[in-house]
Amino acid sequence: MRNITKKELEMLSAYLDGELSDDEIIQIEKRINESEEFKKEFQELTKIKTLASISYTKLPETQFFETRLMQKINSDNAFLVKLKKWSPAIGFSVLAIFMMVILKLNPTLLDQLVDAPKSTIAGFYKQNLQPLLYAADLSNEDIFNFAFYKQLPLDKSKNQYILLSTDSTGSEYFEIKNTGRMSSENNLDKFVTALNLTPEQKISVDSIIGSYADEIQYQILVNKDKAIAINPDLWNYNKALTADLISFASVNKNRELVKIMPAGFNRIDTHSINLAVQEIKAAQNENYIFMTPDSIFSEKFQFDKEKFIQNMTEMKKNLEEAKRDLKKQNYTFNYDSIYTKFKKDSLWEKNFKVTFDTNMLRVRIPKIVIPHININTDSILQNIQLEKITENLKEFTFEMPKGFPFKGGDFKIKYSEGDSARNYQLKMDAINIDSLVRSSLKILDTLKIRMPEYYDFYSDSLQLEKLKKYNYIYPDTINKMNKIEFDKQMRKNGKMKKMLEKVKEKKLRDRKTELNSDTVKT
Amino acid sequence: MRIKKNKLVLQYPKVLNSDDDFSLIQRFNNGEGSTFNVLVSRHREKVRNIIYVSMGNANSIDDIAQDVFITVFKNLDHFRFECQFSTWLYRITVNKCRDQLRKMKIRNILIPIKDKENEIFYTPGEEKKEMKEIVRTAISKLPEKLRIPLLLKDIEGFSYQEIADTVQCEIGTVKSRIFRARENLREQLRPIAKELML
Repeated sequence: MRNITKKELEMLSAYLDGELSDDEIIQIEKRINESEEFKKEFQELTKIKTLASISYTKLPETQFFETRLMQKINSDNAFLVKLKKWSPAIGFSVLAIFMMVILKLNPTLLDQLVDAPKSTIAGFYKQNLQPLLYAADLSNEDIFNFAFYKQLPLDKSKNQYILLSTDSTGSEYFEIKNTGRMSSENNLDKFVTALNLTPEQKISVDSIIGSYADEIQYQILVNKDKAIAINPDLWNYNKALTADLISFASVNKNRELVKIMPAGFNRIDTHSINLAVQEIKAAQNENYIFMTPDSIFSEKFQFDKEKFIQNMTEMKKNLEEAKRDLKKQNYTFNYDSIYTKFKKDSLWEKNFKVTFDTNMLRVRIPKIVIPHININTDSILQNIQLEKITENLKEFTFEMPKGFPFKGGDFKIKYSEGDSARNYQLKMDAINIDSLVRSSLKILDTLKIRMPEYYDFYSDSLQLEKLKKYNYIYPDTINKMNKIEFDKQMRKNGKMKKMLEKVKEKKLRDRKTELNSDTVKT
Repeated sequence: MRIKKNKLVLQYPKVLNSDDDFSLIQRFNNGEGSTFNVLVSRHREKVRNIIYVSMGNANSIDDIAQDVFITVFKNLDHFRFECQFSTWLYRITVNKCRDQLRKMKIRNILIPIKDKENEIFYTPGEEKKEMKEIVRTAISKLPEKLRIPLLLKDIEGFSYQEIADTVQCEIGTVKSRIFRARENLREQLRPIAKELML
């Protein structure tokens, strides 16, 4: 009995799979029948094949396979898929190339980007810088104190000073304080007195101080954005001014100077001082120290003095023009012509005040007596703070022209020279209700005096019984002018008088006739 | 009222002259896109089963199958009619499975924590384990070049020639690989031969 070869086993496997030719089948079947071992192999392989074929259960059919497939095919754009897959890398690459190109074309771009916000802030705070001390109105005394006490007044009303100091390491610094260093005053005068300077020498000292005043005021600049720019040259000017003054004193009054100077002070080298002073004055430090609400930084800044002076000159000119325009301003008041008749009356009040701001013009007659009106004004005014209302108003008192009031209805107020602090008294009789009432009564009285002469007008205009006689009533004082005019006409025209008398007679006759007829009836 | 007599021309419904794959492909290539659906529905289950046996599990069968048909859709105009469409299709399917297996292999290398249950498919006392599962596990342990021809034969009923065309090798090689697969399987299952009634 021969052994089973590998080839025979392969054929047996193929026999199981039905992959043998007829000859091979006969050959294998013969082998199976002859050999028990081969038969056993056949049986085992058959079992293995059977196990393999039954070990896999049938797959359940899939649902909507075609639908999903077609959707995928339609949406599946290979290029887009690849692009999407590589999009981060492509994005970074494009960005990198873009940045490389940009930086190649403009190498300073990064620096610009870093510096841009800085310069923007600096530019913002550099706008409209003005010399702080220009408005501080520095006196020679202030400049002198700057020289010897290293302090400058920023705002005299608030007692604010800028103080220059040196710390223990020799570094210079400045501080803004609400109190100055020294309490004594008139230091310049004391200096002059101590040195016993002649008037000419005093003028020279003033001249030295004056020559620094302009320069010093440009060393501190401020603007409305609360930025303060200080030029470090301020320290140099301080030293130069001090040296200049001491040099001058040393040359002219050295003996007196030695007395007031600390011990060991001797004549100083004025020549070297002069050179140093010239050098300091010539040097222009363009770096200002900016103190802003955001930061403190040092930036180049050139203050245009000429432009500033030009602006200030223009501003002054404009102010002058505005003042002239203001003088030309005419205020027209209309008043009742009745009052012209009574200008001799002494009942007018005198203080005629005009108050105005941009929104209103108010003429105030302070001494006017307002008659009692039955309105509870307290309740109306209790929520109004009168002081607040008039807080921003400016009050001026104008001088009225000579001869006011005059007939014609209009007059003009001239703005007098000077300022609002001066009180210009109005030489006129101000309107007064009391005088008005009294004047009205006087009119009536006048009429009473005149009327009887022509019209048999008795006692007063209210006696209607008498007036009935003429059938002529003067209802109020407004018509009095017409009445006066009428009188004039009547005087001029005698016929009218006669006619009137006829009318009167006729009326009397009619009246008598009526009375007679009445008596007949009775 | 006069009524016009219109001639009614009836269009005969299109009837497939030939339902073989070649004619469907030709019509598809001529612009009749709907024929692709016919091709898909005709071969869908076969393709899914090949993927199932090749991959050894039912995971992501449909994804791979869709990938297969997308490849077919894109390359159908390159089909040269030199072999059966099914052969070409199954070859693509097997290649896709191989690609997937390769990816999985790389993934398993990168992820060292393996599923130990699959490592040792039987231990003493595991006789009660489902016989089919044991056999499937044993088959999954076979090398790919042995497993796919074996399963194409025993499960899908492919002829040796078809297997050779699909996996692109000689018939003799297929014969040898199937035999080796069976021998390997017999060796693996020998400890539990009695339970399996071998």
